[in-house]
Amino acid sequence: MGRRNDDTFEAFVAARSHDLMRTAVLLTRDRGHAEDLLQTALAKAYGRWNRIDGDDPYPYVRRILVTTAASWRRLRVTQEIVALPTHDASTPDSTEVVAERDRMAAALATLPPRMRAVLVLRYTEDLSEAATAGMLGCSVHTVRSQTVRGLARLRAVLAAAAPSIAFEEC
Amino acid sequence: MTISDTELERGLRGLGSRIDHVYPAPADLARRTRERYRAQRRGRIAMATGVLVAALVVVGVPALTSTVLDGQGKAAAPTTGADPGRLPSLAELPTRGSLSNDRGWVDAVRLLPWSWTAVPGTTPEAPVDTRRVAFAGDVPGARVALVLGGDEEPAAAWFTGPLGASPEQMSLAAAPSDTIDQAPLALLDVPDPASESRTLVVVAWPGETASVVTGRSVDAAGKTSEQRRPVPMSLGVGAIMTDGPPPYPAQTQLWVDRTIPVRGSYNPTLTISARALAVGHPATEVADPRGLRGSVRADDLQATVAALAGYYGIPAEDLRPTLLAGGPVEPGSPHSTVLVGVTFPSGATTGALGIRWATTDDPSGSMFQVALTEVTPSGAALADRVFAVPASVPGGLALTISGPETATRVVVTGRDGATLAESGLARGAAVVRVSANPDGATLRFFDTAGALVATAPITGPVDR
Repeated sequence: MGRRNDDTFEAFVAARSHDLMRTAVLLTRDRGHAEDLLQTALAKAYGRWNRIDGDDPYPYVRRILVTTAASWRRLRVTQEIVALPTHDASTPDSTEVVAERDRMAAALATLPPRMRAVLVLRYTEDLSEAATAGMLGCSVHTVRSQTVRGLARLRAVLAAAAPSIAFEEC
Repeated sequence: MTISDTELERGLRGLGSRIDHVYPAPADLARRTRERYRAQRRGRIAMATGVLVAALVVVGVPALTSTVLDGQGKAAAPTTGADPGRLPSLAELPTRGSLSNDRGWVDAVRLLPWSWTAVPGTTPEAPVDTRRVAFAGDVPGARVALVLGGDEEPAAAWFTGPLGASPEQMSLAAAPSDTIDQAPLALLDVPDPASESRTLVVVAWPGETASVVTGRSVDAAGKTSEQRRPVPMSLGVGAIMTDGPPPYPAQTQLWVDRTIPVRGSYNPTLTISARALAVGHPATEVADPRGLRGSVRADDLQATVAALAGYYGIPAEDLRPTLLAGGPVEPGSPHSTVLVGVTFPSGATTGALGIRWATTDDPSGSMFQVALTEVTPSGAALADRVFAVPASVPGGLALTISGPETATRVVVTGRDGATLAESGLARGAAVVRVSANPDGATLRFFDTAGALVATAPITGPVDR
């Protein structure tokens, strides 16, 4: 890998790592796992840096990030769920708002990995159904049905009802 | 209080800014990433020169008969740059299987072409100099080889042949496919298309164990118990032959258990051989008390029955399948559903919804999926059960409903009391569009006189 590629890689990480880290945290619900996931994705991208199509490597790296998180890590025994840090006094949000977000993040973490990935891509990444389907390698229908079921599952969890079993279709 | 979809979506969108604040990416992330990449690369190069990968020691294999020796005939020391938190690639491990010591056979299989013309756009052929044979051996009913190749995450090509086959008799079992980092690989094959037996081959990491779900029993109370068989494994590879209905969904019936680096059970990346996919199955007799057979696709009906039989591992005829509802989601629609109910030998009942939707995602112009539903204890005949199974189809949501035979009209009401749908019923059945997510909705059934004959909730998914 030449010097020019190292420079562009450095610039890319500086510019986009926060966006990628945010997605990684939402997918893993744990800072340590998120950093590991992000490094894994970036290392894969680094190895192919001069062969990535297009002007912006971001969609490619994000795709690696999401598929790595959603595809192979299908833990069945337990899934570590680590609480988000407590409210930081420097944030302008009210405690109630932060508590609400923490509840939402905790509820999101209870979803199966690919269902979680669908909701993260659709709502925090603001991707279309088609783009989400393309990234996860499944149909638009599956994205749509996973979205419907994911929202229903979130609703049940947030309402403190007994969690329902979610389909995992992708 | 019910939380609306809009509120949930707003909450999810709000997560992004919160995460930005509390979890900034490390400042030296680019440097750390480059170091990681170089460490991984060093590890690959070390393996290519014949050094036994250190992680074999990490996963606790007591002895390896194929230990790679260094130039002086001594076991090589573990690489110092290996990351103990990660497993090596399967392509970095020595060849395993009963033919692993037959170097001539293994090398000849490594050179076999990867040409595959059945599916356009499949994974390209890996350069020969990057290929490694991960598995070579005889398994129940067949001889099998797994060849991995490529510069980064390797692509996988499974070859099959008759027991005792020469390398020239081996042929690609299916289109080569990409692999996923740290995911075990598996092949589902039917060596003898005339039999009901299937062979599963698992290639995982030394120390890992595997099991296959062969079915599920359902007692009179509706309790479902999974039945499993362990896959005999040696050095992380193994094979097993199973009988019974084809498993459904095949991808999640095989499990590999590992403890390092993260304890858990994983579904391997499963390749289904072309000859396994081509096996035909005789049609199952399905009861049709409502005369709906002309409204549904025969292949969808059979596929839905097969899914139920495969999931529970019970021959379809023993489940007494009954066509309960189905048809286009609205007149003239290319999207359709079919609802099949079954009765277990214990008397408990359940149903499955086959959903077909038109799409340009698939060359055939449509795709099909089966959703299994919750089990109800014995005591209520299928005809007396109410099913209301939601499905997402392009353009919205639909409910496939099977209610009391005497009901002629149904009203679907959301949690907030809003009417989501109202429809006539034909002998208690219908497929209706709903205007919003029906989660938590209530159905009320009325007869011709307008009398309420039944009230029921939305049918839940299977507990799995």
